[in-house]
Amino acid sequence: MRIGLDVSQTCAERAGCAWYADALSRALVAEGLPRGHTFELYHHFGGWINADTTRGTMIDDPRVTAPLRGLNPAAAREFWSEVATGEPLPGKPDVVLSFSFHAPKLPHSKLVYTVHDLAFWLHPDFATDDTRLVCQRELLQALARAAGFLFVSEHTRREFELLLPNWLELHSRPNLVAPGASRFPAAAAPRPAADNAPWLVVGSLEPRKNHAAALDAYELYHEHSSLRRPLVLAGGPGWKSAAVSARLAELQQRGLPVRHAGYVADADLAALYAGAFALLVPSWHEGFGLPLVEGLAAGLPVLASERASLPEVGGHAAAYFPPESPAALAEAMLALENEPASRAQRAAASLERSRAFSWAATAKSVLEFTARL
Amino acid sequence: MVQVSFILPLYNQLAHTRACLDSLRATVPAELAHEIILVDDGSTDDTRDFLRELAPPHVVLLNDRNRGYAAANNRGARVAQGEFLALLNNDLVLTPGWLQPMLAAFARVPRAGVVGNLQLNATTGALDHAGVVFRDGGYPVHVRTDPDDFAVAGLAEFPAVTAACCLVRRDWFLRAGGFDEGYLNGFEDTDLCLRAREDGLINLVALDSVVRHHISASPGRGAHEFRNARRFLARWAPRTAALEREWNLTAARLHAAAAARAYFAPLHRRLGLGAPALRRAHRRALAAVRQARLARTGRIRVGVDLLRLQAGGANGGVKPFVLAFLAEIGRQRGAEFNFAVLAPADVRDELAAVLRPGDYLLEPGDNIFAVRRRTREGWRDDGTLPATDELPARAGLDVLYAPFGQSQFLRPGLPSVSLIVDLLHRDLPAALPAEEVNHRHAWFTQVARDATYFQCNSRQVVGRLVENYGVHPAQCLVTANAVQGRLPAPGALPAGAPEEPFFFYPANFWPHKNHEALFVAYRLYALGASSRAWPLVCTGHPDERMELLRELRDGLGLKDRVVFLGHVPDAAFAALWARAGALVFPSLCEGFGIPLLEAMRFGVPIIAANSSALPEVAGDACLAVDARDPQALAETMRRVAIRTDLKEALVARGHARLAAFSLAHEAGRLAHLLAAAARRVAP
Repeated sequence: MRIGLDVSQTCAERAGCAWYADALSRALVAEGLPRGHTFELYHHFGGWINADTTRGTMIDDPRVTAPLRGLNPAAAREFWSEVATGEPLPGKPDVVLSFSFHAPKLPHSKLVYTVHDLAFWLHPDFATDDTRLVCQRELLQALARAAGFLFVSEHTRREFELLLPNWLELHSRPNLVAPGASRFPAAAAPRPAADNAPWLVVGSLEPRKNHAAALDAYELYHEHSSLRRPLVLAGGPGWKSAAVSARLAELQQRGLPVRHAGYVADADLAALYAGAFALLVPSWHEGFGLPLVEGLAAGLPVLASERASLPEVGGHAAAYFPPESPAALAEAMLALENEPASRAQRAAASLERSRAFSWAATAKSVLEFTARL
Repeated sequence: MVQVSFILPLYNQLAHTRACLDSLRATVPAELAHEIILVDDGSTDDTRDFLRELAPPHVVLLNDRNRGYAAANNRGARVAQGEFLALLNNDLVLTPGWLQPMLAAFARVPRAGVVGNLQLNATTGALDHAGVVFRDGGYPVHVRTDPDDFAVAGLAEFPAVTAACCLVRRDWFLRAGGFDEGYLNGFEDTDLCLRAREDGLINLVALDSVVRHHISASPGRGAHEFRNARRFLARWAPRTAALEREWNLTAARLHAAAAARAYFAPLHRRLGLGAPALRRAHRRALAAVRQARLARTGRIRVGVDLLRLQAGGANGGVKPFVLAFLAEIGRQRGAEFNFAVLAPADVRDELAAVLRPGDYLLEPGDNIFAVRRRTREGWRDDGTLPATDELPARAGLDVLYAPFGQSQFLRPGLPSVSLIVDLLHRDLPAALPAEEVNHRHAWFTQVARDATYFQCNSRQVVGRLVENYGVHPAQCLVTANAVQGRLPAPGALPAGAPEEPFFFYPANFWPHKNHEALFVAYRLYALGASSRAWPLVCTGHPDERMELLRELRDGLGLKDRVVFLGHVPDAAFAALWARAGALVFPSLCEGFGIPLLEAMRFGVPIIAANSSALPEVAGDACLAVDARDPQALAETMRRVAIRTDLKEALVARGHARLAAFSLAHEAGRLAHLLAAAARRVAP
């Protein structure tokens, strides 16, 4: 089979969906090549046109080509409008996997469309207008155009069912839950934490990630803790983050050890996970929750919001709190800190839970799924 | 018993106050039982020292701070004991015999409400007030001509009079709640007079009472004009517009009658009644009267840049709005305005219905504009004009109106009015291609610099324009798109329209119209309502995106429930309104939203997004919903479709709200702005 892979989002500053595209593409290639599949990587995809493709995912193998890499935006737009009017994609792939929410018209290939989440409809304040207008158009295009659907979690499939009841069944569209996994190798064993090992929050600063709750909880924690571990926020500036930034500055001014590390590159992020005391995931909403599964793989105890996909991913390994209650989070933080035995237990449970997720396993099931289409 | 309580609010200007009090004491009839109530409104000069020395009949009240004209008078009225209140500005100079004719008016006319008098400019001696009428869409203006024509035995009735010098009955004034303290030094008196009319009273000018007035010596008047006018128009606009029309008719009749009388007198003597020569002379006399009126005001040539106008519905709501406004201005002020419309040739027929004989059409060609003059028979070629920057001067334009916002002929030196209908490129840039956002930003920047005034179709747009482009609010006029009356009586339903009630969404297929969320919501609603579900009807200019939305509809499995009718002619469109079960208007960004008014007119309940200008226009006559949220939208659709009481309440509220939207009124205000810009006077 010839398989097209949408790596358009990997060319820009990467967030969850882009990491998913990158990691799953690599895993699909790794699993697929031995089975005789060949691959095309698309660095522009439908309406997703990049100014610069140099940072996009590349896989060095003669059986993996990247026909659109380096194409300038005008030419890329022209290319996709020709595809829409009947020009086959180079290499004429049998199946094309979309990861970027885009659903171009592909008259000669089967489109498999990945649904990351439906927050843009379910929680309108958690999506920018830009995101909403693109996602709602493209998702509906996918209904008209895609041969199959991937959902990054069972929860996302339920959200889809909530807004489009019975659609999958009525239109007999095959679908598969294709969960993510950690991008970093799992820790061999739980690591004991240093006395100054920080609390860690990973995710860009945007309303959905609920950094405000983490900061409020941290303030409470700091009042009552004897160790007063620092708090580290890793993630790009996102959007609508002025209030959180102001709160951050205020806490820093009062001398609380809170640090915003900004956008953190891969290698540094692995080190952050490795050196942290525990991971906090206070999000209001997640489609999957890549940081959570990476925290599990790093052998970190995880305190996560009880919303959306997070309990599905964290299973019994993580402890949950209501995201509207910083007090509950603070209490959980203090409890974790004050009972070293409990931390060790949780860390072991995290590692155990992380074994349920692997890119190779997901890639294998996706390949089987596409073969059946 | 005290007959008259004189009330003078004071704020500085001690010299005026002294002169006014001197003239008052000198002219109060000796036998009149009276008191003089002086309300100091926080003066900072020597006024307070002066007041300390006063003895009865003076009564002195001191406000701790400046509370404004209305509050000061109201405070005086509360302590007054007289049967009448004489409200006086402190910059009046009263002349002998001024009071008696005003008092006599109450004796002669039991229904007298507020009685004013003639006021001369104290500096120039010119007549400054002989009553207040409404003009230019319901704004109060002073009558400054001799009102003898309207007088009966020394009294003339006017819709309102100024309170600079006026007499009211104390018990009525207090019962009516006095002046409205929501105004700040302006419009209080007109507001009071209109309330008197509501109570069945009439407002009079006593023509034998003459005083002198130091015009605009009172400080703090202009500062709140914008706010005051808004408050006044919000409360009175439809009625003042009606009073304006009534007044214009009366004035025209009286003028014509007087002119004819003057002309006929010698003819009567020479020819006797009924002769053909007399009838001819009669006609000539009337024509002369019309001509004289025109000569007094001068004709204003308004250039209208409609070069972006397209045939059919591609322009969206702007087109019906502009055409209706131009037609209405022509109807109201045809003799005063002459239009020169720049527009492509393929909309000539549509403009023929709007323009009047004598108006011009300038059609673009290769480096020239072909000039066509509208005649009763059709169009007559009238040469060409070069398509250069000199066009406005060569075409003799007094003012340029740019209904599409930008115009290549906008220049700082040329008076102009730009219509701004939304700031979509700022409020929802995601709905436009990036190059369109940049393009719009560039021309908004230019228009904000070059246009004299901005016509905005909601307060929301004014706010966004002020915030984004630094335009001064005083440059902005809000006119509602009150074009709900443009549609004819319902004709036949267009082919493909459902017979049963349906959800109706008339909107072009632009991304910000949010059809996608509506479709998902509609599917949720339809699954819940099963066989009783109303269909959904979408109209709009057919384009590529309509084809896309058709594909999305099919993908959702809604092919037989959601109908696309394309652009529908007016009579069929009206038929759709007459049949619709509810308007659903989930647009993410609107500067106004004409369908809201059309729904109100046709008695159709409204569901609308709770953002941009929609809440301002729809008020309580709609169910507001977060249109980004398909579940919320679906639930609202379900409620409207099944709950008869809710439907009826929404329709009733819509009907009541519609009274606030009058095309005559809104177009009158635009005409006023255009005329003011053309004459280079403040509107």
